[in-house]
This record gives sequence, structure tokens and C-alpha cells, in this order.
Amino acid sequence: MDNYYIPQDNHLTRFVQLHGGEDEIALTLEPDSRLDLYCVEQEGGRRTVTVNLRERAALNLVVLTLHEGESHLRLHVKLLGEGAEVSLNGAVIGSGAMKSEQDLLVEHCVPGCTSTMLFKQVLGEDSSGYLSGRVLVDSGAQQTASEQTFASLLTSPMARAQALPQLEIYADDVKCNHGTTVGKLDEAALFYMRQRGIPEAEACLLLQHAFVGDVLQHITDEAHRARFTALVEQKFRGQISRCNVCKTPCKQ
Amino acid sequence: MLEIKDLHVAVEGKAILKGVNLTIRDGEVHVLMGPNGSGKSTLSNVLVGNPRYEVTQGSIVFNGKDLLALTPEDRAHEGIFMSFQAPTEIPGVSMTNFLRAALNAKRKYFGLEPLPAQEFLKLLREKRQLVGLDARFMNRGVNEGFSGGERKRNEIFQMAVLEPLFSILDETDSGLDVDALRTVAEGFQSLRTPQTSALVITHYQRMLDYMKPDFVHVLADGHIIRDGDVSLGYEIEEKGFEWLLQ
Repeated sequence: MDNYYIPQDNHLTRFVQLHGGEDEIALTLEPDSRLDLYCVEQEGGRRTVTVNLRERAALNLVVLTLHEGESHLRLHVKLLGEGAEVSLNGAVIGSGAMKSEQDLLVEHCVPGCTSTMLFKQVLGEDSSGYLSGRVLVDSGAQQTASEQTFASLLTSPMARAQALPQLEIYADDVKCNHGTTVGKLDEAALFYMRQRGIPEAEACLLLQHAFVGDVLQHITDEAHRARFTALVEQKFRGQISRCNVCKTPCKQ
Repeated sequence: MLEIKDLHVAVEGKAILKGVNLTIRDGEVHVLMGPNGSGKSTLSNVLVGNPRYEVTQGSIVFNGKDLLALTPEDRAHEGIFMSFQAPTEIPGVSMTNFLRAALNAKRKYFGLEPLPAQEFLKLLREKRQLVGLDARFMNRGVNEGFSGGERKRNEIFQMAVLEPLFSILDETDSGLDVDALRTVAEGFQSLRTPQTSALVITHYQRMLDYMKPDFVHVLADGHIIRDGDVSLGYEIEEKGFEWLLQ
């Protein structure tokens, strides 16, 4: 297991490319630290990430899943210090026979912490995506604020989406919401765009890009956001099958 | 410009239009009136190729081309535009990106390069001023958070940017207050040329005042039952449709 510490009062931004195989990572964010972590899953694999946040620490995570293999991400966040904040965001763009599983657990152990989950999947061809998010609020974790949003867009009749938001609350002064949607491209929007002369394929691309747009908005750094936006566009245009973002030699 | 012959249309197996004939020449404005459910919106949707509507018989020729053989996007490129009765929201696709995609698709259809960014932005600015649409709407999602009146202004704004030959205004006046209607109508009139035509669907006299149509048609139960000039429109405003249906 790899262990990383973000020292007190440090603010870091990191970009990570996740390759195949198995990874186990433990992160600790010391008081008043902040980590903006942007990950691209460009190959399938199994990842287990455990995060501990101390007082007023903040984690902003964005995971972009672009591969055509099988991946399993297990993420366990513990909010251990008052005033800690975690924002977990992900976009899965599935094609081919991709299988993606994301298993998220956020534990509110102390009062006054905030957690958000925003995960979106655009699933085409034979791909499938499974999202499970559980927020556990301990009895002492009063004034917890938590929000889970899972949305899936199916662009092929063979694609499959599952989303399972769960709340387990043992405190009485909390504000917790969750919402899940699964649907197809908006036919009315698609026709409106075609009436204006936008070819159907281009209109679909714009709508799919817009669908994951709010996930990418969580990338606060402009250069990283532009990079992720370009990757998303390449993926939607079929210009990425497995990998063209890494330095490792690629079959393409 | 447009010739509709013996048009029969069904929606989910139910016949809505039952033999419509209509000819619209260059430069003409036609108003289509009729009771609710008579098929006015069906006709406009068929013209723009909405896949929900099935043409079971008849033909539509637009500037010498078989319109029914064209995709919705190619009909748009050929110069057909519809101001929608209820313009849809497209969250996350900004007005600027939406119009850039639409305009450049049209230019590509005619073998032209995309419009340079500066020229495109200048064009948007000029056309916005024509219909009084604030600049802040350009970075919002298409129709996202727009009021009813703003959506209708936005339709005419898009019409101004795309410069169609034939425009369908499907109840563009509904949801507009008097001042907004005047701005929108003046915007529409300023875009008219001897080569452009329009089909205006409305229930109201004030739209007749602004549109100054060459012809008025009454659609009832899937047929055009009466043709006339603007005086027919005023007569309907006064007497309703009952006397025509007897």
C-alpha cells in the first residue's frame, strides 16, 4: 500500500494517470490542508483508495473513466476532523464492452463536515456502469451536510446503468439529499439542434459533452480542465479507444 | 418557393392532416389560423422534418427540391427555420457554442470555411441588438433560465443569425407582452427581403397588425377550408371560427 500525507496548511494539485493492475492508496490530509486530485482511468484495473481528513481539510477529487476494459474503484473517505470537506466527482464515458464499478463510502465521524458526490455516466455500445454511494453519518456527527447526485445517460440499447445512493444516518441535526436519474438523450433538444442545422452526430456529441460538463467544472485549475475537456471530446469522437494520454507506448 | 400538394400526415397512427394544399411564393407572408387541434403545429413540424410526424401521402417541394427526402438539418441548410412554440432548454450547451455549431454546419454544407471567431462574435452582437437580447444570455445554456418572452426573442435572434429563406413562426406571439411583441415583430420585418417568405401561425389580431400578411388561411380538421387576405383574419378575430365550420 502507498501512503501519502498532505501536511498541515499545504494546498496541492495533482494529476494522476491510472493504469492497469491493482493499486492500494492511503491518503491523509492534515488540518487545514487541501488536495485537488484529478485522475484519468485510461486502463481497467482495481483501485482501493482510503482517505482520512483532519480538521478543516478539503479534498476535491475528479475521476474521468475512459477505458474500454474493466475497472473497480473503491473509495472510502473518513471525515475525522470538524469542518472537513470532501467533494467526489466522476465522469464515466463507456464504449465497447467497458465495465465500470465505483463503490464510494463517506463516513461522517464528527460534527460540521460536508460531503458531495457528483457522478455521471454516458454509456454507449455494450458498456455498463455501476455506481454505489453510501453516506454514513455517525451519532455524534451533527450539522452534517451531504449531497449525492448520480446521473446516467444511455446512448445504446445494449448499455446498462445501475446507481445505488444510500444514506445511513444516526444523528438528528443533518441535511442529507440524494438523487438519481437514468435516461436517454433528450429527443426534443436533439430535434431543436437539428432544426438549426446541427448534424445529428454533432448534436449528440454536444448534448453528451454538456451532460458531463458540471463534473468537469469541479476542476478548478484551468489548464487541467482544458486537458480533461479535450480528452472527453476525443473520447466522444471515438478518437481514444484505450489510451493516448500517457507516455507509455500504446497499441494505437 | 414552397409547394404543398395533397399532404396527409399521421401522428402515432392518427390522421391529422387530410389533404392540405398550399403554395407560398418568394417574398410572401402567409398566416395560418384555425381552432385548437386543427393541425397547424402538425403542418409546421412536418415542414421541418420532425420524426414524430408521418407523411402518408402527398408532396412538398421547396425551391425545386423534394423536401420530404431531406434530413431536418439539410432542410435547415436549404433555408427553413422554425420559431418553436415552446423552445426547449439545452442545459450545458451555451448559446454561443450552439450558434457557432449551427452556423458553421450551414457554411460547411455550402463548401465554406468556418466563420473566424472575431467575425462570428461581431455577428452575434449585431443580431442581438436587433431583437434586444442581452449579452448575458450568450454564455448561458440554450434557453436555460430564459423567461417565456426571452425564449421567443431568442428564436427571432437565431433566425437573424441563420438568415433563413423561409421561416415558420409557430405562435411566436404567445407569452409576449405588447412591447416585446413589437420588438420581435420589428426584428422579423427588418429581416424580410424579396426572397424571404414566412408562414405565421397565430390566434391574435395584433400579430396580423404587425405581420401584414399577403394571405390568410384557415385550417380545420386537417383541411384548409378558407383562403383570403388579411380581412379574413380580422373577421375571424371578430366572429370566431364557428361561422366557417358550418
